[in-house]
Parts: sequence; structure tokens; C-alpha cells
Amino acid sequence: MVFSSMFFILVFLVLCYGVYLFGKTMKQKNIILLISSLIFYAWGGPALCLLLCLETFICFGGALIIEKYKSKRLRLGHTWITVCACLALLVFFKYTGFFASNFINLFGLDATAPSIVLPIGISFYTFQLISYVIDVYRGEIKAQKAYWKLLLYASLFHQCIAGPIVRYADIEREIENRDVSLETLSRGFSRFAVGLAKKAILANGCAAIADALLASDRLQDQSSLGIILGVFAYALQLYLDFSAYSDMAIGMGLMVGFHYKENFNYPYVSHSVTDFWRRWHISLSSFFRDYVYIPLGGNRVSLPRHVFNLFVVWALTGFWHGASWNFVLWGIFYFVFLALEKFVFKFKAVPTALTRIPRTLYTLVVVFLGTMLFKFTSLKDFGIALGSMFGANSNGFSGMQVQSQFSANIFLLIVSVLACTPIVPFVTRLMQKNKYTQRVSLCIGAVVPAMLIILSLIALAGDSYNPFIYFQF
Amino acid sequence: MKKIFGKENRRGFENKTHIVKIVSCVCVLLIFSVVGMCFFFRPDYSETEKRNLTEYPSLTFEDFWSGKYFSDVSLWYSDTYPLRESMISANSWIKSLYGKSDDELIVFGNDSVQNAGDVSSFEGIWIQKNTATAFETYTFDQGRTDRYIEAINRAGKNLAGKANVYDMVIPLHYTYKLTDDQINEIGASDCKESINYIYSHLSGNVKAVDAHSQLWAHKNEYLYFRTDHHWTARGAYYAYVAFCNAKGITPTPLSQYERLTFDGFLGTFYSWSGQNNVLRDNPDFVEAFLPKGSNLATVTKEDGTKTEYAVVYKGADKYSAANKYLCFIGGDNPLTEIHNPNKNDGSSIVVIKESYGNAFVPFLVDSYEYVYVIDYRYYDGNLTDFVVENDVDDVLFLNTVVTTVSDRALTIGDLVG
Repeated sequence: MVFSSMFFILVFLVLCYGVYLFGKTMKQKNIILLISSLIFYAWGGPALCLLLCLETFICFGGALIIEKYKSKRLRLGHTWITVCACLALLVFFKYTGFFASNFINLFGLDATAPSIVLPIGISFYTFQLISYVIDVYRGEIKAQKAYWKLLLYASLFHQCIAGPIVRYADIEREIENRDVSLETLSRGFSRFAVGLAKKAILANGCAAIADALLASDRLQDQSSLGIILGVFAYALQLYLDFSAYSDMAIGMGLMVGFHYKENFNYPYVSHSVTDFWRRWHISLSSFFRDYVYIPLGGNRVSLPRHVFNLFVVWALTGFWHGASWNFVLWGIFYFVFLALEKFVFKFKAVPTALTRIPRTLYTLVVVFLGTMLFKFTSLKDFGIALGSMFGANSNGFSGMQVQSQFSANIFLLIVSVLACTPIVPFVTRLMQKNKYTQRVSLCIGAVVPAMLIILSLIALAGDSYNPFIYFQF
Repeated sequence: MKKIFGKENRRGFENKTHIVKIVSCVCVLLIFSVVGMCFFFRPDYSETEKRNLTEYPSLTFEDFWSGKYFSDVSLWYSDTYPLRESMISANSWIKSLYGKSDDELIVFGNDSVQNAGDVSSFEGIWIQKNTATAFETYTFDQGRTDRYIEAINRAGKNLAGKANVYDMVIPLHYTYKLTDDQINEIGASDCKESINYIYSHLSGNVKAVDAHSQLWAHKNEYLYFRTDHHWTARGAYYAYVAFCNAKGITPTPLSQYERLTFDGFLGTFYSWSGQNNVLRDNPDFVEAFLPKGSNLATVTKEDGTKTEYAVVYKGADKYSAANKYLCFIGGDNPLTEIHNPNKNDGSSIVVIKESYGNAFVPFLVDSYEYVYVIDYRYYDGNLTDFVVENDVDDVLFLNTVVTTVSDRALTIGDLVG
């Protein structure tokens, strides 16, 4: 089930939270959430649900054993065993086809790579469970004694299949006991409505532009501006789509009292690539920071080792996004710029008034190119698109298609760009300064969410096709 | 719930706005959810999209285990949602606010085309806003075109000495309305060049009918619909003139026919574009010309039963906005026969056609004693057998350029045998 489907919103969510209201004790409420989460997950195939339960069981048992031992060596050994078991499942289901086809191509074998169905969300819940096991090893949290509660953490439909990667420590207390105040409930509805609208109206609208301009059979003939607008629209789509999912997850969490951490912080206004990655998919980059980069020694090592650590983290980040070479290249591309910023440009952590704009522009150019690498899973298409963008395929600078796409979507693009900037919080803060405007802003905030939900439902009915991009990971 | 609405938390204005927000969101969700539960209102057929909507999936263990059953349920839910048609319409209006477009062409992507049915090689439609005209495009493909040529030439060979074989390939609307630059920009091929290619490869047994020159001479008239992928009866008439020229007979002047019009036609492009509001605000009208000899057609349906239809149905105003093109020979059927009692020379023709032929056939009625119409997509028999059995004089293949590059050319080949 995807969040942006009428079935999810009008049947699943309404029924799930409707029943939830009848839960009297926290235990009943948790059981209701667990059952609905399993139904939600099983919607993509009940067989895959067993895998989720199995992996959770491995980590559940692993964590209990780790906690039992006093000896550091035994604890570490069991942590490795548990983590490797999880990673083995992830690698098997996600990367077998990729490795096999590369192996076949490399040795020119006459065979076909096996095709294995990618279990939905395996990249996300595997990382959640790994963070749980390692945190138990580090003694930061206590191992969960009840399997079903750990299963609730791993399978919770808010974040199970497309993030954010929630740490067990962050919701440990809230699994046992949580409160919903009028204010959190209200914030939850706002976040949910904003996320839904970002996805159903803005991201899907931008997707239509990107798909029209970057269709792979027309890349060769696309004008320079056509490629640029297409990638621009795709970059908007990527952020709006993914952050919308996180918004909806955070919103639905708030409605029942879970407080998840923010996953995005307006990445497109970053002043450096380093800054960009502190604002983009925060739960993933902090996962790699805490469980790979720092254990490898982080920056408190020799310079070559530091570069190596960065390289490992970014190659893995790329590879996590998909079993395809373009994602590895994409990760390494960011590694290059992060390393340049650290060791060559030596950017100050906070830009001065003078350097702020040039640094933001530089970041946007890098992110634009990164988006291109991300978009074209075939390196051949990437090459053609790059060629067309720089006029190498003699298609002219502009064309009718790009002009018509631009003028027919100009307002949509403007709203989408604004949605990528912190303009709404900025204006809201301005309005807080005066008692009268503060009330106006509260009133607007009270009526807009319901309107956004209506508009989104209309948009969802209008577009029959609307998968979330981040589902493929 | 007590905690939420209890006294201790009710802190003035801010809390009131929270309550308004929560209540309004919950109401919206509940209302839409309850509408979705009205199973008895769920439609099973979409008039505007001309297709059966998704049926509720049947439960098999395999589909259940793989999750297909569940994704089908989700699809069924949104596809047959009771308010879906009005929501699509509203969405189309909202989308028109995404930007402005003066006289530019707007493309609609491929994904709206999944239910195109009839026009299989459809590649995305373009809408010219200032003229409220939608265009489909056609791309030349030599390999595919050769399959069509081969089928027609085989018919010429099989029927040599039995009947005269004519081939008429019809260009698409954009040929007459867009400039060469625009045609280039939308990535379409020059229909005239493609037709020349086909005609230059026809064997001596097949006579080519140059419909394009006749249409071109009248290109400022209402030859094609703006909201539908068909031509008008007027467009078909000029093709009929071209056919008469090829055969060497005199066409009936258009002014001698009784003319009918049916207003408010919104065709396939309208539904493919997601009920585009520019098209909706500028519907087509259907023009029809009554044959003089007879207005009665005997139709053999796919299940083999025979029914009588009007050649031109005078009551088509009663048809829904999407269905007005059905006024010609009762739509697409495997075999249609028309007998003209004003003639008794035994002259006969069989037209091998897709739906473009429907508007064309009424003009033939007065030139023959017997007119047979075969829709090759639904007819099972063999063409040569049919020609021999019915002692047919003329065979006319009437196809659009789209057919010549689609797999339907293979179906024509099957009919030819």
C-alpha cells in the first residue's frame, strides 16, 4: 500500500485510527497498531511479511543474548553475527541479481541473472533493526523483552517501508507509554495534510514534467533547455516526493503520540554539499555516521584514513539507494565534493554574508548534476542527456516542447520551488510578532489542512499512476 | 479523548483553532471514506473513457500470496470510486491553473493512454489550446509499414481477376492543421511522405486512392474532430470523391444529401486527456449526410446474431456526449451489409476498415447495389472466400496511417489469407 493511494487514506487509515480510538490500555492500542501494520505490510505480499518477522526475530534474539553476556568479546561477537545475518538477508534480496549479472557480464557467461522480488522497505527496516542491535551492544538501550513490541517497532506502518529510519532509542519510551495532546494531534493533521499535498499535487505534477522531457527515447532529440528543465523538475520531484513521505509518517506518528525526528531540513537552501547532506535524508546520513563512519575512526585518524572512511561511507550510501552502478557513482560523486570541501576548499562551517550566495549556487549546481546521475539508471542515457544538455547532439538550445511545458506549469513550478524553501515557517514566525496577525495565521492554519486533503484526493483520483520514488530502495 | 477535549487543555483561541482543524480534517476523511463505502454507487463502466472499469478481483491463493490480489483491490477501489468522474474533471480544471498556455501545444503523456483500445500505436496526444484541438501523432516505421504493404499486395494477388482492389491510406489531422515546424517539434512524421512510400510500393493489382489531395484542397473545412481521433463525415466525403476519381465514376455533390447535425460531442481525446477543460468548453458537433438509396444496414455482431441498424442514425442527439460517432453504421461490427433498392445492376463493394470507415460508408450506398463492410479487427473469415461467395466487384482497404505501422496490419494480413 502506498500512502498516496485513495485506498490507504480512505480505508486503511480511517479504519486503523478509528479502531485505535477504542483501545483502552496502551497494550490494546499497541496490539491494534501492530495488527494494522502487519496488514499494511502484507498488502505487498503476505510472503514478504514472514521475512520481516524473521529478521525481527533474529535481532530480538541477538539483542537478548548480547545483553546477557558480560564479556566484551562475546558481546561483540554476537553483535557481528546478528548484524551480518541481517545484512546477508538485505544483500541476498536486494543485490543478488546485480552481482550475478555483473559476474555474468564480466566473464561472458551464457546465463541469466536470477530475478528476486525486492521485499518492500527491506532497506529501511533492516537498518532500523541493525541500529537497535548495535545500540543494545553499546549499552545505550535495554533489549526489548517482548518480541511483539520489537516487531511493532520494525513494522510500524508509518516508517516501515520508506523511512524515516527511526532509532529504537527515540521511541523506546513511547512504545510503552505515550500521550496525545490536542496540540500534537493538531500538528499531526497539519503534517499529514502538507505531506499528502506535497506528494499528490506538487511531486506528481513535477514528475509529469520530468517524465515528458526526459523520456529515454527522446533524450537524443531533446534541447538543452529541455534537459535542464527536466532535471530541475526531477530534482523538485525527488525532494517533494521523499520529504512528503516523511511528513506523512511524522504526521501519522504524532496523531497517535509517536515523535519521530525530522528527516529533511530544506536541503535545497544548503550553503555547501556538506551542509546539504546534513539536511537531506538525515536519518540515513546519521545512520552511516553513527554506525560506519565513527566506528571506522571518523576524522580522528590520519588524513589518508580519513579520506578512506569518507569514501566507504559514500560508496555505501550510493549503493544503499539501489543495486545499480549509477547509484554507486552517485555516492562517489558526492564523496568527491565532500572531500574537496573538507580538505581543499576548507569551507567555514557558517558562510559569511559575502560567500553565502556563491556557495549556495555552487551547491545547487553540484546537486543538479548529482540528481542527473540519480535519475538515469542507465549510464548510456546519462551520457546522452549530458550531451544534449551541452548541445552535443545538435538539437538546439530551446524547443517547443520545453517552452510549452514551462508555460503550462509555471505556477506549479513556482509553488514547488517555494515548498523547497523555508518560506512558510519564515512567514509564520513573522506573523507571530503581532497579536492580530498571529490570530490570522492560526486561522489559516486551522482551515488549510482539510482543504489540502480535499485537493489531494482530487489529484489522486485524477492521476491513476503515482508510485513513491523511494519505494524502489 | 478526555485529555484532548477536557477542561484542563482548553486554552483559549489557539485551542479552538486546533479543534477546528482536527474536526474539519476528520470530517473530510470520513465523508470521502463513507462515499467510498457506497458499493451500490460504484460504477462498472466509464462513459467518458469508454471502457469497463476494473472489476473486483477474484481471490486465488496464488494472487493472495504474491500480493497481486491486494494491489488489485486497491486499484479497484480507486478505479470505481463513486465520485471518480467528477474528481477527474475537477483535477483537470485544477491542472489548468498550473500555468498559462496561449497558442502553444501541450503534450499529454503516455500514461493517460492505457485504455486507448482502438488506436494501439498511440504515442501521446497534443492539445493546441487556442484552437481547442487535440492531435494524436504518427511515426513512420519502414519495417512495420512494409508488413502493411505486403498484406495489401497479397490481397491484390489473391483477388486478381476476381475483383478490383483499392487502397486508401488516410493522413492524420495534424497534416492539415499544424505547420511543418510544429509537426517536427511534436515528433510526428510527414503522413504524405509515408503514404507516398506505401503507394509507390503497391503492386499493379492494387489501385491507390489519393485521399490526401482532396482533403488538402479543403483543409480549412471541418474535416476532423478536435476532441476525438476520428474524421468527420465531411472529411470522409472528400475521401469518397477521391475514391470516385480513382474508380472513374461521378461523386454525388454534397449539397444533394440531407444534412443532420448532433451537438455536444466530446470524443476519445477528451477522456484520454483526463477530461481537459479546454476541450470540454469547446465540444465538437457531428455532421452526417443521409444516403438516398437506403438507410438500412444489416449488421452481423461478434456473437453471430444479425440486427438492423440505420446507416446514419437520426436520433443520435440522444447518445451521450462521448458516443455520438456511433451514429454511423452502428459503430464497429464484424460485418455490415447495405442493399440499395434504387440500383439493380448487381454492383457491389466490400470495404475493409477500422472505425474511420464508419463515416465513409454512407457515401458509397448510392454508388452500389450492395455495400459490404468488414471490420477486420472483429471479422473471422477469409477475404477471398467472401469476395467469391458474394460476387463482389470492388474491394477497398480504408486505413489510417496509424494502422499501417501498428500490429493491426497483421490482422489485415490474416483476413487476406
